[in-house]
Amino acid sequence: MNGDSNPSINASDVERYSRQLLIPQFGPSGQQKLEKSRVLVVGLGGLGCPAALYLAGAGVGTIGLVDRPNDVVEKSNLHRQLAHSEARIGTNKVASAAIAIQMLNSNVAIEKHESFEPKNAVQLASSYNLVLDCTDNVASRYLVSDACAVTKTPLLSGSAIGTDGQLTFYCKTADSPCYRCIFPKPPPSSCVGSCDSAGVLGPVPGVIGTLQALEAIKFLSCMNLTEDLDRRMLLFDGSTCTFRTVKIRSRVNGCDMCGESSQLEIPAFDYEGFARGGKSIDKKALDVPSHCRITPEEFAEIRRSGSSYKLIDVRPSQEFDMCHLDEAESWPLKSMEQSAGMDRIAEGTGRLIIVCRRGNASQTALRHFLDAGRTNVCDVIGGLQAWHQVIDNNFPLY
Amino acid sequence: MTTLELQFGGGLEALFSHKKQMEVRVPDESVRTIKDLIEYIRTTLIRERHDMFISQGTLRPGILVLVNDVDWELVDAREYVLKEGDHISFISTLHGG
Repeated sequence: MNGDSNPSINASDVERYSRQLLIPQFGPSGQQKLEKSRVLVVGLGGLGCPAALYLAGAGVGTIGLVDRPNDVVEKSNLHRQLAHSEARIGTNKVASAAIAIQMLNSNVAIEKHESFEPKNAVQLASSYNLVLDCTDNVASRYLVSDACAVTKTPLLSGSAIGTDGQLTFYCKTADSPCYRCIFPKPPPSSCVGSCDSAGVLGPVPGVIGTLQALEAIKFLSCMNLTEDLDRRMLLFDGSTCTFRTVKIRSRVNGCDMCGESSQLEIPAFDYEGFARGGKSIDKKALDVPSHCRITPEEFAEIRRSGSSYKLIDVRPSQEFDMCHLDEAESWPLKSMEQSAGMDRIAEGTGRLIIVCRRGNASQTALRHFLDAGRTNVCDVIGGLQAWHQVIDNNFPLY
Repeated sequence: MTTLELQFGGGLEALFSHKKQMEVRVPDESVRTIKDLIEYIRTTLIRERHDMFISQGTLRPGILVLVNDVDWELVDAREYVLKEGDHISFISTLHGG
């Protein structure tokens, strides 16, 4: 390989990368820098799929892939995680993404990693030039950022949910903030949405993941454009198709991770506990008596026996419209908790069975009924998800 | 009175009938700084789920506050003195992917 002053690229690569080589600020020297680059993509979901594919398409030399060891491709991923496929449902996501990358550009060296955990995060981050945070949860976001802060590895951090997306550059220079500089404490877990629970339109993480790849390509090829996302955050509102870029703080001296007196030791830090610790303080303990809870099997038996009961489904109405048990009546927890709903709760004496998606909201609803003095009321453990798993696998799982 | 444009994002708009922006006129004696504004929003504009905005008497963790598109930490944070026409944004950080 020649030096930057006299870059030369083989004929096949000229053809493959011609459209980006034609960009003056990129050119052959940018291409060579990309080919020598090593990028780690953490999370192969809605962000990681487009990000990894564009990096591969552009000819990044080595792409590291990592996700949770048990994270496999599910049918409900396919509307947004386009590197995966129907044929690979049930396949480990890293393995599935590696196949897609290999099919797109066989020049790329792929490094598959089994996990990104406190015990190996630092070592993993330190062996790459750039890390892309494409994860989907609070604990992982702190871990990825901490590992990048301590190893001084630049981190492009994307996130998306619903119709909103965010993107910023952490740890890019000595003055750049890390994630903890901006968000020293995790949010209460009651305020954290996930794509699984709150939903997401596929192109929203597609936009953000694609922009992660764009920023990565510019950074790795040293395009030296005047502005990047260092100390700036991009906010994307897909509902109005609006992009905003706002200015954010520099590195914070008192930061628990990158501050001067930081004593945080990544391998010993309890990330899951830290993320959970931001629990909402006024969320009262449910304390539902166990005799008021029935298993899906017990519920199936009650249905079969023909005895009378009323089934109340407390999921939000759009989830009820997606799928519900025939006899269910929709009464979303949210409307139940409004004052008119609370008045209605005390009415009636017949047997009530409460169901929700996973058996959490139903316990909250059950608590309301019990507090209102109702007896003969119970909820279904594990909700409709457990119903799918143990009783009727034709009932949709989502 | 001071006229401000409030903006909510990252899901916080759910607390404000899904309005992502609103113009408010606040009394300038009692609502002088952003700290006062947060209290004003809590008592005047939010009807339910106050825990999504306030925790232990202060703004809950995970909300980025912007004054005219600049991180409030760069402009005195809670003590920033509100000016006529300021755009104040409250953006909840996202974690999904």
